[in-house]
Amino acid sequence: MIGSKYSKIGAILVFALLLNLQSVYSLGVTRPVPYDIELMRGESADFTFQIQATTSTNRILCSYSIADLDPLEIEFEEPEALINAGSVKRVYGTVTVPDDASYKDYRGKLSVSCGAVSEGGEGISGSVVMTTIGDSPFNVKVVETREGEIREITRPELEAPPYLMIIAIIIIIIVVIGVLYYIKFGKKR
Amino acid sequence: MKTEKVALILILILLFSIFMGFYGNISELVGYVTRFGQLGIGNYVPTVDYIYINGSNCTDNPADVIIDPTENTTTTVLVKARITDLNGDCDTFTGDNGTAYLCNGTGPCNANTADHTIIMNYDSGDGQWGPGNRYCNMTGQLEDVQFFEINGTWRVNVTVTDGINESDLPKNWTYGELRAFIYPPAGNTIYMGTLNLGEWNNGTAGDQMKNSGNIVLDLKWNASNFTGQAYGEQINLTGDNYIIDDDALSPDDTGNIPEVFINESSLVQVYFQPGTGLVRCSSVACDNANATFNLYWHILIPQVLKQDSYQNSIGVESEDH
Repeated sequence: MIGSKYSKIGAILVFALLLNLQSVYSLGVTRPVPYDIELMRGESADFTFQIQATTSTNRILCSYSIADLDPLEIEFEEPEALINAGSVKRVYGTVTVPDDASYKDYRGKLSVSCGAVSEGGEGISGSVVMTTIGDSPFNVKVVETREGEIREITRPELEAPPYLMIIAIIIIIIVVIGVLYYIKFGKKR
Repeated sequence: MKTEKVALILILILLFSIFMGFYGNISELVGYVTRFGQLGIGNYVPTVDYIYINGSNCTDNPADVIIDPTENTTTTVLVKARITDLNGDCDTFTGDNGTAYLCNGTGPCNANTADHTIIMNYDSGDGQWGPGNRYCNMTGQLEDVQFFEINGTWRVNVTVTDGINESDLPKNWTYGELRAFIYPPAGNTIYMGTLNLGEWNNGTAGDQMKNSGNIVLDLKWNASNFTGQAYGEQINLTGDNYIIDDDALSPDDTGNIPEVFINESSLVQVYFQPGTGLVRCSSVACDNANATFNLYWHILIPQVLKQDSYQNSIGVESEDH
């Protein structure tokens, strides 16, 4: 009836057709703060937002962008974020106003796209559901004279790489030895 | 003359005695003078000077303190207030003396309008300080704010009483915006089951979509072709063989949301959500209409296809309703 080499028994045969859609379990994105930034030409301001996977059973890898802000420049501290299952990741960025930007309200929209990753840190083989949360407002008002202060965003200090710590210890030891050497032998001359 | 002198002396002694009758006795002239006085110190109204939420000072500008919700769970807030009590006895204040109210919106914030009521107690860890121990802190019990509570400007009003007089201090803060959803709700795999050749699948791949934030969302969907994992054969989407639906029957449409065919191009998104959008939950149970909905994927399996396990990818993107 069907006559295909693939289906020799016929259409009533139940095929073992398993469609796996491995999925991001949950995703949440907070609106970037400060909510409404006021800057003059040439100025910059930091901002931050959270990517939340508190309900997720997967580690998720996310990328993000802010649209509709041209010609303002957006720079993120990291180009993408890896969020462990059940946790929250805070992303930091900086917006800079070029010297030739027009004075107006720029109404940008943050978009965050995420997919599940395997324990090895690479993409899950097979199907992946990409989850995107968009439309999170990010407003920047470019003005001739700014009325308020630029709000500061406190970023956690990045841990110094271990080799820097080792170099610092070596330098301290050399200085101490040098001082002791001078005390012991330098005064005799 | 001698008599006159005696009389004068007697008169002076008399006058002196009268004088001392008013102001004391003679013995006081010799040593210490003790005075017994009495005065009344009035009761001073304790006042609330500052209010802190999670360590940030609340002002009239709600943007000064933004508390972000947490997806599908609660965010804990800690309210602390600095109190001035010129009587210096705020170390006696208990839960009966201080209350913090958290209210959505910018209207009056009190016991009748509060969304959250927090008992405040004297913070013995901070103690008292300042002249006459006039300052102290009162700290509230930890309070959980749900993920679905309305975003925007909130008020915090701390009232304090010493049992006689009462005062309060209302300030503003912001409960942040959180765009979030859960799909699928269990595990990380959607199994469509074992399907028949040449038939639509009914009642498989059903899962629930849930709004786990506090913004009403619209949802856009797209998907790629299915690929057999062992032999690489494909089920190509044609625009009329792959449906997103809120009921188990296919191609019949019995649910509340009209079913939508997924476009043949994986780049084209189609809207599928309740007409109201995926609304916020109104309770922890999230049983209000359109805060959740069932979601089924229906596929028409070709009449000729190799036995295999097939996979594809789907995309879901939210935007504000």
